[in-house]
Amino acid sequence: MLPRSLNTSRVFVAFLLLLVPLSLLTPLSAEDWIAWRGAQQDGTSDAKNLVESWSQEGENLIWRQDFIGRSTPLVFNGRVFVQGRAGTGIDERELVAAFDAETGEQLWEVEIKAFLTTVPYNRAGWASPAADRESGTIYVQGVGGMFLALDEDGNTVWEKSLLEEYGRYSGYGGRTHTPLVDEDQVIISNITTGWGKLGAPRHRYYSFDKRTGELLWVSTPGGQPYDLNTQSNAVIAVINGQRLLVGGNADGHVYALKTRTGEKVWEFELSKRGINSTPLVVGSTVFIGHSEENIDEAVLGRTVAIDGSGTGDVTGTHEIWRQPYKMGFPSPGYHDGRLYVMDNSANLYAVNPENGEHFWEYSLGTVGKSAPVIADGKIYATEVNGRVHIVGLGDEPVRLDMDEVEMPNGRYAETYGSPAIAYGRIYLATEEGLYCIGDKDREFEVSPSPALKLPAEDRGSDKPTVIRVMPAEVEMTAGGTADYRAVAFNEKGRQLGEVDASWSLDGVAGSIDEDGVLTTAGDRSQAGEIVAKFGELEARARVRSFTGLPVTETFDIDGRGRAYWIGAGRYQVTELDGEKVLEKPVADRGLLRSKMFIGPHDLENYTITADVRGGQERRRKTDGGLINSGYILDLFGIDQKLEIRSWTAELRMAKSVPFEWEMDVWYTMKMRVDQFPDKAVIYGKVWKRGEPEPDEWTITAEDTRPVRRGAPGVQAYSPASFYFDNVRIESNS
Amino acid sequence: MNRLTLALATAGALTLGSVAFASNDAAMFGNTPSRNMVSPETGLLSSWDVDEGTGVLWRQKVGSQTYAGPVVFDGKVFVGTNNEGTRREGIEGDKGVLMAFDEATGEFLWQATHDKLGAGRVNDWPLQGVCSTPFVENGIVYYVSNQATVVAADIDGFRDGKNDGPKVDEKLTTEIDADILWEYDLIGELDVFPHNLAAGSPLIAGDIIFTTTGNGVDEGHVNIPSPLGPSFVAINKNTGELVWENAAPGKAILHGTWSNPAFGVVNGTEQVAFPGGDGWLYVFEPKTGHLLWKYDLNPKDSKWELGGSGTRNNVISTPVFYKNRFYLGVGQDPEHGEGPGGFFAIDATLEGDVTDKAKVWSVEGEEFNRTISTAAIHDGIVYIADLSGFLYAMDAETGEKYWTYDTFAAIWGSAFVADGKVYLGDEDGDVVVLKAGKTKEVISEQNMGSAIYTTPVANDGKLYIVTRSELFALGAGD
Repeated sequence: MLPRSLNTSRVFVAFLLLLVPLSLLTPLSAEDWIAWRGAQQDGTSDAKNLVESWSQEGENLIWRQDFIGRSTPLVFNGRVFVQGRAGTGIDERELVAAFDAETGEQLWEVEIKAFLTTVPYNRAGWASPAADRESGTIYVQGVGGMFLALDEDGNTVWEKSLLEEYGRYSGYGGRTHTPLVDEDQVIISNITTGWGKLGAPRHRYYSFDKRTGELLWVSTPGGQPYDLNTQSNAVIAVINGQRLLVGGNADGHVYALKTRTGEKVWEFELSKRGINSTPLVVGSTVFIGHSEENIDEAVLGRTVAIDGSGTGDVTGTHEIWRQPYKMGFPSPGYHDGRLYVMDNSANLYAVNPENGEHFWEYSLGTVGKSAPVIADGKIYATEVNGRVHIVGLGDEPVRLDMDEVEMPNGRYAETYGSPAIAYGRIYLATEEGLYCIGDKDREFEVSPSPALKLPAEDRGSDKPTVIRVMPAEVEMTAGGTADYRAVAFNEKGRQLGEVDASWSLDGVAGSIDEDGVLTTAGDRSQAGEIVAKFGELEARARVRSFTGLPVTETFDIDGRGRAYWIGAGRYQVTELDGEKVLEKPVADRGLLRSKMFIGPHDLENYTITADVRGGQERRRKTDGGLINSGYILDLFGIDQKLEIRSWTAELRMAKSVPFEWEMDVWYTMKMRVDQFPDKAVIYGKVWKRGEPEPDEWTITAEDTRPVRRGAPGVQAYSPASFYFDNVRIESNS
Repeated sequence: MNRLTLALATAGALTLGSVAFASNDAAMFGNTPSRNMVSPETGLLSSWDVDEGTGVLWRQKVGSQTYAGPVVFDGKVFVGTNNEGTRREGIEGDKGVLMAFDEATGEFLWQATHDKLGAGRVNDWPLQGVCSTPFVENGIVYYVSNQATVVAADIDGFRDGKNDGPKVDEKLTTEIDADILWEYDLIGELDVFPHNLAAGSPLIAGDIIFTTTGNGVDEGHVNIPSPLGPSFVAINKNTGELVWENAAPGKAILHGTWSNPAFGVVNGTEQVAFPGGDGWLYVFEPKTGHLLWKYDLNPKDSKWELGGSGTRNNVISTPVFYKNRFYLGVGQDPEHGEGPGGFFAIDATLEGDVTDKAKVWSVEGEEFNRTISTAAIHDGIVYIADLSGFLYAMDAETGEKYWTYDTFAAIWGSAFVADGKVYLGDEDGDVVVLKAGKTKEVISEQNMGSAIYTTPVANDGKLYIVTRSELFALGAGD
């Protein structure tokens, strides 16, 4: 280890005040910051004559806006797009906002609904937006699993409820993947526990058509995740002439997938815990790190260089070097033959990419979560405790500036995002505000950033080696139709075009014609697979098809449950007192609390009724109840109360009333959500089964920032078995 | 999350209190039941170099994460760690492990091996191992396992060739396995819901073992699933039977219960002090569990916020009893980040809710960051570190700051004072040695090769330091 003497002073030391006049005559690069790590995915900008100091009080501070940010801003088409959080009480929300990059004027904000999530408010807005330079569309993923495509004015182009459609796991940690736009796709990844073959919890990659939101492919490259909240964003590379998506997975591996099909090309086992660092690819070398257990040594953390040109399991064969940098959360940067690595303790290293040895080390503070940005011979880097460093590069690092961004009360401002450099300015989101830093006299000029520079792809042969059915999954109305197509790709993952496949159904009641048009049976809700065959090649897609309301579910089912339920792994149909019922049993392993969705994700203005029965195990009692439109009606056993809530971690609109509730006794619960232009009203009532339904609602809550629609479902916390029966879902009208 | 909330609770250490405990009767977190991180040892090294081997008597690999110990007693050194070191052939995968080494040679003697709880991270965080620093006396090692069991084990393991009981059905019985005498299951018997990990470092006074249980929130971090389960327990050390339990903080627990009890005698009355998961200090009559007094360590207008940005804190720091006062700090899970904290000197001579009258002095807010460290108090000077990396030397009577030293790295362990020196390890793996006293004087700084989340201890003229992955015995040698 190097002595810390180089860098340990927290006091700003002006080693050199060269005071180069910031010439207005020099042609200045003025490009967008198109993705969270910049256009080249390496944390660099070609900008010149950037300022070497600033202050929260005003030096080189062009503008500042009230905004609580935790992510890296995107600067695109003259606008700054940034994710964050805002509001107090019932107004607490995650949001994405757009600001004029020149003046800082706020142009719009869009709430990203957080519901049925245990991620706390102050971790909301952890992912960064992504942009499509062709259409100007902005993509954001919220901590609660809403995935939005917005036009430049903030209008919804399309949206996905990843929780209700794909069983996205929420968790508590809040680490959320930043979307990645590549060619015609926008790709995200999450831990999901969906239905059917995608029911087991895995860290999966989902590719959507960036224009329509159609699901193109789902890839499950790995195994059981070690962690349920990770944040290794994927990057794009071309290696061996093949276009790859490279990312760290929650199962501790790094995977390279063919971008257009999600097929796995290689895997590298790195850690016994989930990977949070975003990889960097230079040529064919992949640099990535972690800070947890290694697979082959009882020390924590490692940064590796992987030769990305292999196939299959390259763990033992393609490691170029390993070094003990604990780059668990930060991500590396690369410029001019040097790799810049920050570790979890906010030590910054200038590293030789050939062997991983460092030229120098520089302390940025104590907690590193962001990624260094390199421009104009300087590094701009943030540290969680509000420290913003500008470091001159050379044989030795030079401390040009260090500012500590503070909250009004003097506490440091949490800073998890990295700087964005665009139009000759530095944009920075902190807990305290959104900052635009630069030379106030410099002319403001907008221009697009260059496209991602990648080596040429090898076109490969014209022989199909794999087909994919698109869309990969559809949620539809029973009796309706859905169009599928089979698309062929060659060995390099290049799309060869649509092919004339033969179609069949697996587990779906209905028909599919020779053009791939599916018509599902109109008399039932169901889920199953669509099979396409083209010569020797086969591919499958999925469908969930739902009847309209009302629906009744009495659980008279052979087997564990219905194929179309989402997140059903912890529920089972069982027999109790001679009746088939739904049971949420005590879990042998894992959590006792679990929710399950039993209907389509876009229902609104409906009522769900069910019989429920809780239980007791010594000092502990069950909780449980119903889900309607993103709201929960929950009976608490220990607390003997009835609660309505939406955002579980924040209780922003929650209401509760005392409620005497006996264990091992059947009750009936009813939950209704009415949508109004300015609010949603949520009603709940509970009574002993068999007794007359009370006229009055037991509990009522209002939400002036309403969730507008959502899947019906059940949820329970089960130290003892919790039972449901006779679920009925009906329209309010 | 918590890389270790737990950890903190456990960093090992030494002490010497004003209570009359001879430090050679037992070894524990904080050397004596007062938990004061001070030792009467002398002849300790002022500098060493683990790369060159200078001053290193022996070194031993442990697991990959280590938050408990070392403690040294009866010729053995104990460390709580995980199973990544695979010192026990045939036992692989994630386990909680307590390791015993020979004090003179460093030889690995035996280990206790505990499976992980099925519930996963919410009760037993992956790969964190045993985070309880043992209490060792009279041939027995007492600790809390990652499974939230209070364990009594034979100090010799199976090396003495006997399977001592009452428990004799151990699955692992080679000579490098632990001979468990009895085990008390806090979850199975008392419905405790340890949040992330039970990490209490036990304390024995008379025939009673005291420990915190870890009881806390569920995975959603809002609800307390088992508020009737105790936060504090007293167990008969001879029989392994419950003496008393207390669930006082109940629904008010903010996160988990990870501090440790401390013991003192105030004007002839014995007291055992338990910091609660609600940020209160609860002080009981040791034999009965009768509440003597309690003190709220948080300002009334402070606010707890999920994820860590609030001003209300819980207690992970262990109280230190010194001259009829308890000294302790407040903080949060390090995952919650740095923030305003506080350090308090509290008069232990009053009764009831003493919140408004027992504070002798405090440093709070801007003056003292969140801490998970435990104090060392020597010659009227308090040495206490905070999570942000600062070590403070303060007047034990007034709280006046004599000096501050910045380690530039997060601190989870505690400052240890012995032989006129202050030893402190940090997350960068550096150990700084300063001169004890009112004037700041750095003697040396050395890197140990891996992060330090524990507190140094001393025995027989030698220093013992465990990093995340390695145990060092440091001394001048023969």
